[in-house]
Amino acid sequence: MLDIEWPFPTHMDFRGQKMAERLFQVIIVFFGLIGFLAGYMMQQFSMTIYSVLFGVLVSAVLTIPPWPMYRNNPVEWQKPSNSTKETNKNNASSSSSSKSPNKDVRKPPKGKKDQ
Amino acid sequence: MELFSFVDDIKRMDKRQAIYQILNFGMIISTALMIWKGLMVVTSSESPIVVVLSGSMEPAFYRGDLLMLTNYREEPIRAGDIVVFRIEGRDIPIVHRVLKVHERDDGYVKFLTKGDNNQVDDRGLYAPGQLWLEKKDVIGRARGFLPYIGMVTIVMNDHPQLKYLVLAVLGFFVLVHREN
Amino acid sequence: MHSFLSRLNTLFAFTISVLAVLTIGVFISTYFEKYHETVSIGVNKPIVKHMTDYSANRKKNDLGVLQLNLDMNLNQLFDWNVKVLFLYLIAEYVTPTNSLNQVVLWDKIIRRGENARIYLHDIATKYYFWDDGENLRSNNVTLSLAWNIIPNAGRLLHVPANGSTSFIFSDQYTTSRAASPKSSS
Repeated sequence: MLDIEWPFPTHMDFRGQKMAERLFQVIIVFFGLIGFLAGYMMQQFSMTIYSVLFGVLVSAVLTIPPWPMYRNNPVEWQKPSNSTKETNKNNASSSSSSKSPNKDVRKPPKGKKDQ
Repeated sequence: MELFSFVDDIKRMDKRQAIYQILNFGMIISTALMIWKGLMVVTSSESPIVVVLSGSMEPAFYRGDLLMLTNYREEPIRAGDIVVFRIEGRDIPIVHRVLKVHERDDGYVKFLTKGDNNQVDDRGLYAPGQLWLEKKDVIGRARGFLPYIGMVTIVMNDHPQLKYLVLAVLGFFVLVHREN
Repeated sequence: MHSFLSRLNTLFAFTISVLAVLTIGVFISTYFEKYHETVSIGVNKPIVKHMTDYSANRKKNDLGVLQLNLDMNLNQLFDWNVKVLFLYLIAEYVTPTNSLNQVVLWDKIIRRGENARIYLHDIATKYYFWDDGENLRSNNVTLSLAWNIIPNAGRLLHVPANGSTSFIFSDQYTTSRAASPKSSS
């Protein structure tokens, strides 16, 4: 909904976004479970909290900045035709935070199949 | 590229969509209200959830912690209970612990409270001439506890402009946002 | 999950959800815990004075004076959902005017990590033992200890300890300057 031009690069392509989201979910849940077990063993809830916060830190470093691994599947745009087909332009801008980075652009890039 | 692409969404809204948005807004408000009223019935308390406002019960409760209250008639007030009460004529609920209880045969109960972190009992807090609290002053007894959740309320109480700003922005987005 | 802000927002929301689930987990893991423990309470030299209660109705009421012995080890009570223990000693008795009287004579806060072993001998009560009236002489008083469990998240439990004791006040007032409670009300 808000399109802001940040002074640093923030773009990830769709496969990258899906990968990033899955990655931080796995990391945080993993550290959450580890923390829960550790906390239970030591009977200290603070251990659990620290573990989760550490997981968040790791996730943030790994998934917030647009590392190159999130840019390996750039959207292949069709070649522009002479008519005023503005659909491609619209799809380039960020839409609202819907949780399906799989939702492809209206004109599907050639030869790409998302599994 | 515009910064606020949803302005287009508003322009695209027709009368039916606008009514739908308003009804949606109304549904959210009434659901929240019903949940609150439902809690009031289940707990018999006029304020089933309170935020701790002062530090007079530290280290048990800090400012911003959340308490769940019940006020059942069959459960009498006993020494050691944590009660939330209001002094007659004042708005602010106080969360303190019962120090003394004297109950008569006819059921009339009077009690004295004290904050864990205070040196003296609450007689200095009561209304002039009031020495004891009665059942009618009590909003409920603290039964459940959640840490930190009420911090939002504390911040908004300390900065009322923030409260109005958040409400205005939230209300605006609920009215305007479309589930595509 | 498209823009920078969306990613931050989603990460934050997910973190909060995970923390909430873990908190519920802690709550459930200690739900059935009973927190029972045995303590030893002793009373020395219980006497009754008749004095003006300036902190209350400014009339002459009975003031009970006694010394306490407390012996207990509560380190076992601190599981991972116990943040603070609030101990309180209640004196409970009946009078002709009031069918139930409860007065807290002593309390203590123990935080997790602090030593939960208590061994106190011949200490004065922390709070004045004022009666609401003049009915302490020859009264049979029961002293019982209880603790309030303050959790990290969950129910606030009041658990009575095993091991209460009773005593009977003398049938005469004492007018000498016998032991008085150490602190002000």
